[in-house]
Amino acid sequence: MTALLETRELVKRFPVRHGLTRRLAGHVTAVDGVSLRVEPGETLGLVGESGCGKSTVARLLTRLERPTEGAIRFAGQDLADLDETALRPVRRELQMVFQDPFSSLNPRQTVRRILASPYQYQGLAPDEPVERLLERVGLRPEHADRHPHEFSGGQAQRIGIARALALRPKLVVCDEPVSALDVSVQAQILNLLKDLQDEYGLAYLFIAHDLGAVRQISTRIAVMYLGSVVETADRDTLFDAPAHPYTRALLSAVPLPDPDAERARERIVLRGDLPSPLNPPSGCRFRTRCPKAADRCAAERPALRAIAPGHEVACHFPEWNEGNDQHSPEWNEGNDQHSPEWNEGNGQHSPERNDGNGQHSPERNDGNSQHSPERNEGNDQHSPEATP
Amino acid sequence: MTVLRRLLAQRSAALALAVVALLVLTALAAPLITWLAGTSPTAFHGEAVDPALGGLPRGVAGGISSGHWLGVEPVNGRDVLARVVYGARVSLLIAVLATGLSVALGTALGLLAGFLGGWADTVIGRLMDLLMSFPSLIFMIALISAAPGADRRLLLVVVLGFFGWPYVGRIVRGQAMVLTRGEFVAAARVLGASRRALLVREVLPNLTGPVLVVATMSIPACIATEAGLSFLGVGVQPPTPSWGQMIATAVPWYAADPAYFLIPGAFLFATVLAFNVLGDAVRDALDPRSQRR
Repeated sequence: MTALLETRELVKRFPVRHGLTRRLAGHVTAVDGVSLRVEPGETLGLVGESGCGKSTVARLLTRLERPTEGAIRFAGQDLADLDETALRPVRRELQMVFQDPFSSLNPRQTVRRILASPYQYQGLAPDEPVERLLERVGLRPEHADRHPHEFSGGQAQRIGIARALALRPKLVVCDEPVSALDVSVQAQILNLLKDLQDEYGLAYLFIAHDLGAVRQISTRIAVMYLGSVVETADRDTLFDAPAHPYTRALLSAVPLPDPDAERARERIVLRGDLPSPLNPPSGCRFRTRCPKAADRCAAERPALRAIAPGHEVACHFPEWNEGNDQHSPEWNEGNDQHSPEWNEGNGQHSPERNDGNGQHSPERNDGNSQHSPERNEGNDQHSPEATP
Repeated sequence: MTVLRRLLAQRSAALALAVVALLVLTALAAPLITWLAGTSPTAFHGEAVDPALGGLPRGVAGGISSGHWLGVEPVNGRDVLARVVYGARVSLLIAVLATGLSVALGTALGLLAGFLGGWADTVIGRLMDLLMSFPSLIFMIALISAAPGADRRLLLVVVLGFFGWPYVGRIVRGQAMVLTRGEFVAAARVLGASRRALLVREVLPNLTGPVLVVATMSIPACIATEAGLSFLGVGVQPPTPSWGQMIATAVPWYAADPAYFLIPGAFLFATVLAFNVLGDAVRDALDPRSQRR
C-alpha cells in the first residue's frame, strides 16, 4: 500500500541570533530526522511533551515552514522544495486544523466570508454553499453572518474544521485541535472528527499532548521526544506494551479512573527538564532522563528499528513484551481496568471496537460497574466521549 | 457600532467629541460666521485702535465690542474672531492632511516591514529610527525657510506628514508582525492564499483599530507643531491667519493687551486637549481588555 503522506529524515533547524548585529549564535534543531507515514483514511497520533517539535512537524507538513533537510512525499509528490505557486493545488488535498479556535479565525470576517475563502484563495467556484458546510460540522445555517467572537470555543473550532474540509482534502493535519477546549467539548469535537473521517475517508495526523484524546481517535501512534520519533506502534500495542522508556514514563503519568488502581499505579517520574534543543545531549536524546541509561546511550544514537511488525523503537534497551510483564505488573493491571471504561465510552460510536476489547475482561467489567459512580466521574475527564 | 457606543459612554469622550465637532463646524462655517459678525479676517480697522497708545485697541479686553466680538488686533485692528475662525480652518486642514499623509505612508511601509520581515523590515525599521531620532523641528525650520516661494501650507503638510509617518509605521509594523505570525494568517496560507490576499484580506482589516488611534493622537500633535512653527515665523505667513502666528504676534503685547494673547491660546489649548482626550477614549473603546468600571 502506498502511503498518502511519508516523510523521510525531516529536519528543521532555526537559526538563533543574538544582539544588535543579529550575530548567528547557533541553531535550534526543532525537528531532527522525523520519518512518518500516514496511510489513506487512517489517523496517526503524534504525542510528546511541550517543546518536542510536534507543532513544527505540523507546520513542515503543511509547508508553513520549509524543511532544512529531508523529504515530504504527499500523494506521490515531494513538497519539501515546492514554491507557493506549485503548492497551491496540493493544498486542496492537505489541510490543517489549528489549536486555538479563536486566533485561527480572522476576527474581522463573518463566518460566511471565512468559509468562502478556501474557494476564493484557490480560484475555484464554491461547490458547496456556506450553509451546507455549517451543517456538516453541526452548526446552524443562520450562524453564517456572525463574527467569530460570537461563538463558543467548540463552535469556533467547528468553523475551523468546516474551513479545512471545504476543499475536500485527503489529509487534515490537526495541531492540538482540542487542547484549548473544555473537556466535554473536546469529546464532541473528537466525535465530529471521527464522523467526518468515516463520511469522507479522510486521513488525520492528530497532534496532541493529551494521551486520552490520542487514544480515542488514533489508529497508530508516534511518540516524539526532543525533535525525534522514539516509538511508533498501532494504538493498542503502544498502550499495552510500550517499549521505549519515555513512552512508558509518559503512559505512567496518566491518572487512572479506578481509585485502587490509581493508588497502586507506579509512576515513572522523569528527573530534570527537557534538554535544550540548542545543545542536545550526545547519543540518545533521552539518556539524560532515562532510568536505564548506560554508556552505550551516550556514545551511540539509537536508530528507529522494528521490534515487531509495525512496532518501531529508537532505544538500545527496549522493553520486550515478556520483559514488559515482569517489570511492571501494576501498570498492566491498571491498564486493563482502564480499558473497559474506554470501551464503554467508545461504544456509542464504534461498537466493533467494543466487541474486540470486550474479550479482554468481561468479569472486570462487572467489577467496574460496582465502582461506577466515582469512576465515571473520573473517567469523564479522560474519555470525554462518555459525556453525552 | 459598539465602539461608538462605548466611546459615548465615557463622559469625557462625549465632551471631547462635542468640542471637536464644534470646532470642525466653526472651521467649515467660517465665512458664515464672519458674515454674521460683519467682519473679515484681513480688513484693517484703524478706527478700532488708538494710535496715541502705540496702536492698542480702544475699549476693554482688547477692544471687545458689538462690532468686534472678540476684539481687534493691536496696530492694524484686524478682527480677532474672524482670524480665529479662519485660523481654525488652516490649523485643522493642515493637521488633517498631514495626518492623512503620515497614516498612508506609515501604514503602507509599516505593513510591508511587519509582513515581509527580513531585509524589508531592517531597511524600513532603520529609516524609521533615523527619522524619529532626527532633530526634526530644526530640520523643518531649515527646510521651510529654504523654500521661500512655496505655498507654506502645502509645505507644512508635506513636512509634518513626512516626519510623522514613523510613529504610525512603528505601531503598524508591530501589529502586522503579530498578525502575520498569527494562526488565521497561517490558516489562509494553508488554503493557498497569495501574498497580496494575505495582506489585503487578512492583515490590513485588523489594523484599522490601532491606525485610528494613532491618527486621532497625531492630529493634535500636528496642530501643536503647526502652531509652534508659525510662532517661530516659519509656518503660515500673514495675511493667512493661524493660531500660532497670532500667539507669536501677541507676545510683545501680553502685558498691555492680554486678551489678544489669551483668545487664540485658549482655542489652541481646547483643541489639542479635546483631540487628545478623544484619542485616549478611542483607544480604550477599541481595546476589549480595558473594561471600564
